[in-house]
Amino acid sequence: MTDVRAVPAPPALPPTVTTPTDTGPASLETAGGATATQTPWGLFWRQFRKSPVAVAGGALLIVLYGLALLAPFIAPYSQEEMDRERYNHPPHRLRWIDASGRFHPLSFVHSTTLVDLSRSRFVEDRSRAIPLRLFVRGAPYTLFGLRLDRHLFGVDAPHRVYLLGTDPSGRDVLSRLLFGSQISLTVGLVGIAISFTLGLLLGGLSGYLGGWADAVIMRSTELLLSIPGLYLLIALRGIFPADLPSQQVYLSIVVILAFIGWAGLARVIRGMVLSIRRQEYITAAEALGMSRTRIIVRHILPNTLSFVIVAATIAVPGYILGEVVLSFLGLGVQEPAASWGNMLSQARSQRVLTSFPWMLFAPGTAIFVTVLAFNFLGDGLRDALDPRKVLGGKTG
Amino acid sequence: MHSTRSRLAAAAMLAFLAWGSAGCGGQQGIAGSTWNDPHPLPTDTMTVPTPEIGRHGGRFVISQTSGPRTFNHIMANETSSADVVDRMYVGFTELDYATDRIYPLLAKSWETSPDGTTWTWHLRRGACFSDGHPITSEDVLFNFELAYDEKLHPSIQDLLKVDGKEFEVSAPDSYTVVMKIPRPYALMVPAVGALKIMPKHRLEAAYRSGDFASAFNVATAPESIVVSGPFVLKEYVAGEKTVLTRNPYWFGVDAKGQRMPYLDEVIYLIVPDQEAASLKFQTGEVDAIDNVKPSDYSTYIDGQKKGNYTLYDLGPGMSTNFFWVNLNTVKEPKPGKKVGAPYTDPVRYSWFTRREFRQALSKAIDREAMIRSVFFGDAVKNWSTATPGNKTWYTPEAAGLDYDPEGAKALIAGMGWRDRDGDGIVEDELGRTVSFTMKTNGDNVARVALANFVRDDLSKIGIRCTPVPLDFNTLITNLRQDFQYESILLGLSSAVPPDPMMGQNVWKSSGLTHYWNVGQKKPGTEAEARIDALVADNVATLDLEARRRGWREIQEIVNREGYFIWLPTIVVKLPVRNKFGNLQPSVLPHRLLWNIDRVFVKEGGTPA
Amino acid sequence: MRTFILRRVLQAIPLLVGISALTFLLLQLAPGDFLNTMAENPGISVESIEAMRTRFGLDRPWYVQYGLYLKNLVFHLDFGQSFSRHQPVFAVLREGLLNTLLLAVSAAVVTWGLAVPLGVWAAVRQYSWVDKGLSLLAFLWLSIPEVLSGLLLLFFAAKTGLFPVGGMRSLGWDSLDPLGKALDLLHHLALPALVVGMIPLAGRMRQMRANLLDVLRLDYVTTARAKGLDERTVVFKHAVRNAINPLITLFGFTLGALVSGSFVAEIIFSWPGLGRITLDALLTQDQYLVMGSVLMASVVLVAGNLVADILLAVADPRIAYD
Repeated sequence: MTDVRAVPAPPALPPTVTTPTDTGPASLETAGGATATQTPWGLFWRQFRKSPVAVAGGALLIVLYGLALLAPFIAPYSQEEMDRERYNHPPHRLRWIDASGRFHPLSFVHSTTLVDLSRSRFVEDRSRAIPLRLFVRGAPYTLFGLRLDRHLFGVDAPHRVYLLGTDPSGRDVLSRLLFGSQISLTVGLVGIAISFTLGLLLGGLSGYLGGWADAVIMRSTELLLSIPGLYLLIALRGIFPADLPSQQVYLSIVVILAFIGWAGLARVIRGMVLSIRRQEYITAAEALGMSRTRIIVRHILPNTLSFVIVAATIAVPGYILGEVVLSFLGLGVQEPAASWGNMLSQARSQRVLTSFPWMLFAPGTAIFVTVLAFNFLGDGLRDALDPRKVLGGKTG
Repeated sequence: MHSTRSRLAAAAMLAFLAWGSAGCGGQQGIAGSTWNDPHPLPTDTMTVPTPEIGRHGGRFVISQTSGPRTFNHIMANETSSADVVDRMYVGFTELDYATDRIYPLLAKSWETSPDGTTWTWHLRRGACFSDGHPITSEDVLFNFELAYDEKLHPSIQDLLKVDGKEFEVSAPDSYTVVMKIPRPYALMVPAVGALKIMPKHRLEAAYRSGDFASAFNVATAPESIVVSGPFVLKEYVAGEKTVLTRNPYWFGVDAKGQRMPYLDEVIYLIVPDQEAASLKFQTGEVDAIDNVKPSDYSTYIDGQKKGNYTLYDLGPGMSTNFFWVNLNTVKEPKPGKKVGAPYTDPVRYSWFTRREFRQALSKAIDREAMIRSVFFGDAVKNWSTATPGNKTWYTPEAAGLDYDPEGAKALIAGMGWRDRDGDGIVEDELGRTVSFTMKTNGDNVARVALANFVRDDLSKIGIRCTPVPLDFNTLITNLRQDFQYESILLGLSSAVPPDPMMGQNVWKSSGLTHYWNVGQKKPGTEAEARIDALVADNVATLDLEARRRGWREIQEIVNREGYFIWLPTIVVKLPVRNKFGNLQPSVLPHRLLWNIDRVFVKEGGTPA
Repeated sequence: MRTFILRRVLQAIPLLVGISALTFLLLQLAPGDFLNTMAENPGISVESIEAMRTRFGLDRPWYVQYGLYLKNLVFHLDFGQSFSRHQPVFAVLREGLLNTLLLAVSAAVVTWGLAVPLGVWAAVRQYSWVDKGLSLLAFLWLSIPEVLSGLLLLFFAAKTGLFPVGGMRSLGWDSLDPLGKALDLLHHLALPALVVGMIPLAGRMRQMRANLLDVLRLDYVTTARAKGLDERTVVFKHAVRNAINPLITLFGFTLGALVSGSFVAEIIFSWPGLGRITLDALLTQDQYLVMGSVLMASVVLVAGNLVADILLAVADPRIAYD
């Protein structure tokens, strides 16, 4: 798994480390060659667009998070509804031309009956076409405080449509995937919110204040970083009483991941702060009598921003994969709540692979695609925020 | 002297002829070597009943999810160790799973006094440990000392007590042991049989110096682990495998007088992941798997021809699934808690103590649906710890309250509970929403799925039940120590022999596994008082019919009261390679290994 | 140099003590205790449980327990007793540690063995389809959860018979000659090392590429080219050697990631390593075994970092330490 503590290498300083020159990030604003009309944002965007995979990654993530946000609306069923006639049902085949030759613009499906219980084999009833409809009424749900019951798509009762099939308890895999995305996609965001806040704060303080604060904080990070990630994760998970309701388990997982995640970032931030601190404009500000807090907040930290953004984007996959590993070990979000990790773990068997592959590949692909998107995005961001690339040519 | 010599010669001739007539030119091991019995047979051999006379040689490979933690029988408390260790030591008697009868093992015979209080056991003369040292009554006395040791306090200790008193064990001579008990004890034979004999000459020193717990641990050199059973340890590689080999001094022989066991080696391969184990079976690395999920049955059935194995359908198994609601009350004064106060909150307690509530829970469950979904049809309804797979103790008349949603709703309405606010969940007569949590062990996929079904079923009668899967350890803490739960879904597996009184602590109100209300000083309800009396009677008589009647009544009470709400039990199917003979798989624990001393590799079977 | 090494080693000791304190604290915070798993047997009475509790010292106050533990550790190199296995912890862990190291080092060989040449190739063919393609492939592999890739490879092994289905050695390993033994081991190592080693691959490869690109822009490289040296010599003899340096700093960190990553692989491929033992120990709350295991894994990491620092100091005398 990608360690949640993985942080990219700090932004480029020239190989001769000892003498900082004026090629720090601050030069982004003052370097010659940047025309007056080019804003930093414009430069960034132009560079970013050069990488189609990064753009695609970013777009995909926006779509995924949108889906997660609107999950109760988009999912045709709730994550708990059990269809007792259709366990391990394969994905319904969408068709457009029925037996009588009529074309259904929104596609249709056939209803099915079970013919072999031990092998979960179903046959379609080709005589009836059951058309998909938009904005159908279904199980009620609450979204943004509104109580609604219309779902994006579905079929008329009493029929059911399972675009990604069902799981062994007869629950719609697509719906669970959508609801599961709420957990899996937010684990990363909440996680880095916590760990990055901690990392920035402690790393910044450590770098700027020096002295005993520096020593204490750095020793702590060394301690945390000396324990291999997963071992620490397991040990930490063990201290949370396991009989928490699902939401709290989720929170505890995020907290744990964040707790081990801040250390790596803190160290890098500290290094950056140390070098920025030596810049002339900082000493100038100090000489002018600016308060330390103001200096940290208004001058030092913003210059770490580009790095932090890239680091955050690259750290999120670590959290998502961390949740998957915890679920695999049986320590993650539990049934009946759905998360991509626990869906994947439950489906991890030969039987599923050969007979019910959709149960495995739906969450597997979702995880894969999300992690890939974050990685591409992060990579693209890094290139776009790299001052050397943006300005072209070498510096110093 | 002359006659002795000729007798010996005749015996040798007979033996040789016996070997010779075993087909294929005598005792040919698979590798073509001739198996020679290195030692003379003891005076009192034990003839092991086998379906077929087998041939010596070959090996049997089975997978385990974790390895043995010790080779010391007294200290072995986990299945992974018991699976191995139970092949290495024997006791006075053993249960033959095929015939469901107890047969004499180390003890060749025994008598009881008419009042049932004095038992005299006769040991086999000439029976030896794996290093040639004879097994005598001294070893038996030593093992009783181990069993009764207060510091070690092994689990077998409670089985070897009657009315809380230890047996009076004495040894009039080297091959006789006398045991005196205060009154007749129905479990005498199985209890004594459960004490497997370990060598005094090897362990006494460790015991006297207080070091017994780590004696014969997994780091001990195999040559030092001296055993009384058919197999001895050959090799143990941590995390990978355990290899057992034939005990050259084993006193069991087949009908032709050939010393058993037939197999050269039994190998336990440690494969933590069930999927990997299944794949190893398919590639031929492993010969048998002891634990298969019903979802995999059809895969195994389909592969039988190609893989040259048989998936044995053993019928309903011995492990159960059930749930109950927490009726535990505080027994000892604790900080912040009054004696007699319920552990769960008073509102829930007021619901849980109502019999109609518990009965409604039982009637709400659609067990058929569970069988079809969770178990792919390979399960049966079950209403007791004595499942339909328990030949002697299964009593179908004592069935519980089956699926009857209308009946369940009627019971709920009869208590005055209605859904007043239209949210689908009923409120009790005081207007409080009826909802509770159900804990179960999260690593057991089937149980989690069952909990989910329970949730769904109960929602249909207006009760909200929220499953909370957790790790086994925390569950056990809640179950045995702090009683912090509302309901738990769990299961029990059978003891050997599957006599219900082996688990009497579940039924006795003072018992520590009387889960719904553990360790009561006095039975809290009339029903429980009646059960206590029935249990006491059951343990004190040897009359099987009377015991079965008593047992049936116990079950009827439990089911009527809804103390345990039963869920389906799986049908057990296990795959074993076809090349083995004398296989008699059973649903009782150590299902494929119980008679491994009789299993052999058939002619034409692929060599090891 | 020598003082530097000595200093780093001395720095490691309080670090390890700190880790042991942290793990002990965590274990104390965990709910329930080890004996509960055995308490599940209907045959066991409460007296048995209590007897065990006393024998294992679990009824003493926590500071007494820890004090005893630390004393044994420092003066006798005794990691304590494993309750569930009736053996000293060190004995239980020793085999597991060696096996995990074997897997982690093999995975490291996979990672570096692929990262360096592929990174060089990508840098030399910057922006070409080779560069982009390698990047893409590395990212693709990185994004598959280990849980899934492990299962697929295991299945692949079973179906094709090309690789063994998990495990570390074949059943007949002991009777093989030394060469046969080594080959059998490699055969079993192949898939798990692949799964684990590919995880940090993307990062290291891109690192190598970026570093090499940086170095190739430097003045001395231009000078070398101007001198007429052929491109190959320039790249391999001079640039690559310098570009590898920053990667060495990451060695310790990579090793940590590999030891962690092998945790999951050990379970999927039945590799008898530290990971499986640790998980088992945690679930049975075998206190001393968990602590010993985390400590051992940390020692590996600290040693790895130390080695990396030394290598770096040897390789690049310009690096100043304060």
